Amino acid sequence: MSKDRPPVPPQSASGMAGGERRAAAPSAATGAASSAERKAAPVSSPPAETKAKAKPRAAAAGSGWGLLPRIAVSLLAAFHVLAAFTAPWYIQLRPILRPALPPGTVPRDAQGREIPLEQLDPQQFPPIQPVLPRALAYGLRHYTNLLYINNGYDFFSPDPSVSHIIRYEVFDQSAQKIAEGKLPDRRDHWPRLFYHRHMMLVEQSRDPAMEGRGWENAIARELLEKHEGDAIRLTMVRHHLLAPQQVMAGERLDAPATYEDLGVLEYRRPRAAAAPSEELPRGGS
Amino acid sequence: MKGAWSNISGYFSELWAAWNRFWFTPVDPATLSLVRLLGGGMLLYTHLVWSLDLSGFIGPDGYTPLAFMDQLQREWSVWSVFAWTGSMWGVWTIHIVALVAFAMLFMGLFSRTSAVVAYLLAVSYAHRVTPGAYFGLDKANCMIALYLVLGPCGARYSLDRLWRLRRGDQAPAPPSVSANIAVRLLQLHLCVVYLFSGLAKLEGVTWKLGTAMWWAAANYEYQSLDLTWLAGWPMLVALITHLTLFWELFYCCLVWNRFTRPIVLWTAVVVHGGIALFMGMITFGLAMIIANLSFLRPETVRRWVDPVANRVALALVGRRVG
Repeated sequence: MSKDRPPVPPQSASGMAGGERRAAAPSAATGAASSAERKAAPVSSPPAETKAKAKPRAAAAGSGWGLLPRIAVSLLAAFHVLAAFTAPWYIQLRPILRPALPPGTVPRDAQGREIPLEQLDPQQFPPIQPVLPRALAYGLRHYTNLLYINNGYDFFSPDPSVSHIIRYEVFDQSAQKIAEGKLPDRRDHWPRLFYHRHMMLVEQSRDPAMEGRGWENAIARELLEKHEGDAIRLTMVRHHLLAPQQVMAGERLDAPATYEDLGVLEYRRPRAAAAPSEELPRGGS
Repeated sequence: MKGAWSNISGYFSELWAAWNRFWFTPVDPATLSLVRLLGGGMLLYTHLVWSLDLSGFIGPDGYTPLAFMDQLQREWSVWSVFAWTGSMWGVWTIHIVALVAFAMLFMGLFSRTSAVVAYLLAVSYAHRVTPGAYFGLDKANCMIALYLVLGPCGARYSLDRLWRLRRGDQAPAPPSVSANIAVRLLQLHLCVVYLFSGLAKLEGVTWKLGTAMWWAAANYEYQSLDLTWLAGWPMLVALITHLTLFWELFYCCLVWNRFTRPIVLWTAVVVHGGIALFMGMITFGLAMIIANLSFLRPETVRRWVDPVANRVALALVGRRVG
């Protein structure tokens, strides 16, 4: 872009307008240093101590940026890196929050049976909060949200896990099947990135935080629209992984036995005059 | 006492000097320009693919309707330009503008302006599909686009550069402090990404036992090349798993040392190249490799890329880029 273009070759000091251009040639950089820095620069064979003090100033002068801009940018950079660090730090801690129990305590019910931690009443045993990452993440959330650096980076972690598929069948008004398919589908969803988006759609619809929000209905509605059908049946399927020993024994990764139906959702297109959509029991979670 | 004070002040003096060298040394914008060229291409391709089902993924009544997103994203700072339009023609208009901006960034036309527009639009898509259909690619794309905004990303390997050559301006791209700041921030962000990716793996069992790579390879939905032969090579599976985990955990330390940096960066190419080839996430693998290129010295970039850039410049404007 023309703004970055030096009007004349950088060797010429007259063409070094602007911080970055001034930095182009060493002579220009020295010339562009602030007067305070020029005063501080060693003149001739300074003693060792003076050299040590002058070194950082000389290094800084090479940038052509004055002290105040450098301090301001340094603070902004430090703030930004802290924000980029804080978001994944807190996100990563959220799934491992445990109820606040004294060390060694085993919660038991009235019959003396051990109560699993996840079943403890959060009102009675509120989780231990990581106070510092939580406070930082909360304080910086608008900054991290605005820049989309509000992410965790848990690729294939904590462990690689199973995949899920949505199988669907679309019916017309006379209950005849007019289309069927699955999400994701290697044959239909090409290129690979398009396939991967469908794969993520299915996986993210299964996020525990989404439970009960009716996301399955939105997927059903969209598929009905695409196929111009009247009713649809979605089946959430889990595809289990095989251990190395099973593969060595000749089992295939896509063997029918590796698929497990988790639940079915039937959805009918709402009609203008009809009552609210006829929804059968939810599935998929 | 005087000696102790001298040592302390000397320490802080050297620290400040090192800080200044790290952030404020003007550098050739070749590295940032290469990241722009490749990152811009990735942004263009990534968003072009949305065109295949724009109404489904981005449309107001698609798989993740706007009303549904409103329930989830209550913070005003979770923003997307797609929230401002309730019609598909509005969505398509924004989409076409976005594709033009990504293409301009890729080609280096009005690079700084297109970098700002491209970044804002990339974040808009990412927020629109979070949750919905986002994954690591969107995080990597937005991270790269964010730092392109900060420096002269079109100083080299761009139409801007060719346009200047055509007008007779053969001055080399000047070293730039903002190019250095942009690259430094990208490098540091990448260190954060790998550190937390490694730490998250420590929460699991399979990464520590050395079997995680098998379970990733045995996932039929991810698989793009058959890796079931790994079942007979448990030692190899364990080696790859442990290496990946330790590489991620120590990336943020080892990548700064000039002796270990080549090993760390080539490992990045192998790991992400493997993800691209075998697990079908070609775009994500490439985006992470592009981000890793930020650690290349400008001289290295110029040695590899300038010959190609010169050929292009000779063909288009009859001059070498210099």
